[in-house]
Amino acid sequence: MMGVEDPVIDFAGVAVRVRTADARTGAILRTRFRPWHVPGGTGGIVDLELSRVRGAVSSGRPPSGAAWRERGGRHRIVSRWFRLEFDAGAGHGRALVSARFGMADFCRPMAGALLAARGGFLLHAAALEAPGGGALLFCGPSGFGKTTLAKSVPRRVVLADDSVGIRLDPDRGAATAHPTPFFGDFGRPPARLRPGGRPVRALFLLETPSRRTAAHAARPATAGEAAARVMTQILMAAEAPPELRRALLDRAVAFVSAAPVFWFRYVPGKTVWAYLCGLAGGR
Amino acid sequence: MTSCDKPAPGVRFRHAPKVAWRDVAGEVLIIHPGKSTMVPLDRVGSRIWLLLDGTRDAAAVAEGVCETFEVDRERALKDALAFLGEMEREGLVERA
Repeated sequence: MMGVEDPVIDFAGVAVRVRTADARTGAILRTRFRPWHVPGGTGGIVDLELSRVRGAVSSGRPPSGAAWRERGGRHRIVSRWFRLEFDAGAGHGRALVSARFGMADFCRPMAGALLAARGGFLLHAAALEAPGGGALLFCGPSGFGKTTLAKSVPRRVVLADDSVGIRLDPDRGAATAHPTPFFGDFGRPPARLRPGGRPVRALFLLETPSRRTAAHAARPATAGEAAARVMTQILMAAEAPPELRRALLDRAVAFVSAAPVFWFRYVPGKTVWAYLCGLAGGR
Repeated sequence: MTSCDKPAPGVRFRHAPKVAWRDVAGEVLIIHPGKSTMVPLDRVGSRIWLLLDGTRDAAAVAEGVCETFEVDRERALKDALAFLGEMEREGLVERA
């Protein structure tokens, strides 16, 4: 659209200016991702040219998964439904996305790849604002209760029910968690959700849901257990080139060293928030 | 006899090339190169993995396990051979 500025969207500290001639795509980016818009003068922006096509981008590829190659800092990711090429250092890229593939569905792996290439990662986790500030993260595969947990607590404390951006500060041994626009069955992000990083106060590894769970319980996890779980829940880690995958493993190890980690099981319902507040030391 | 049959006690093993792994406070995590999955090892498996430098055969590895854990030699050797056989089938270790 003439005269309409291309949105710059912040994905956990990676700002992406998406330029597209597709009016519908532009409207989605301007509205759905509005809370994550940052000023155009933000430094370190990745300029992404995005085009839409009818049908599959690479029909020979399987319906899910992607192939990711990297050479000299230049990345190329191809799935059946999109092709993404970017130079993480130079800050530009281009994407071809099937019209049959939702924009949020594309932006999630795109954000995961960019974040991984720039020192962080996108974690499959729910996040809650801890009493007194910071974030409590709940990491687990699909079906392990992330969204159910998000629906069991006051809406105002929900930061994410599906994907959280993680940035690491190796000098301070600290990690920050960033809400993202990617919500699952929880639906739209809570009103007044403030994007931006929060220090990670604790990481909870969700245990397999069981009808025999009679009470909430948290027990310490070992660093190895935690790193193994985190690594399997880093978006795009499985597709990443070997060198980047090793770097992600190092980040997973650093991440689980930055905050207390617990195995966690809970009974869905209103009592879980009080339990978590008690663990976090406040109400 | 193929190289992937149950190994003999005198066979030496080492980590397969290109297998990425990390020692996290005594727990070894391996990125399975073929499946892009994580292989977390338990404490005994981690100890065995850390002993595989290409100079030790299974008997020496079992000896190392006995030094760390309270287990008899026969049991340690049996477990070490089973572990090494499985790791070899998965392509995570190779015969030195």
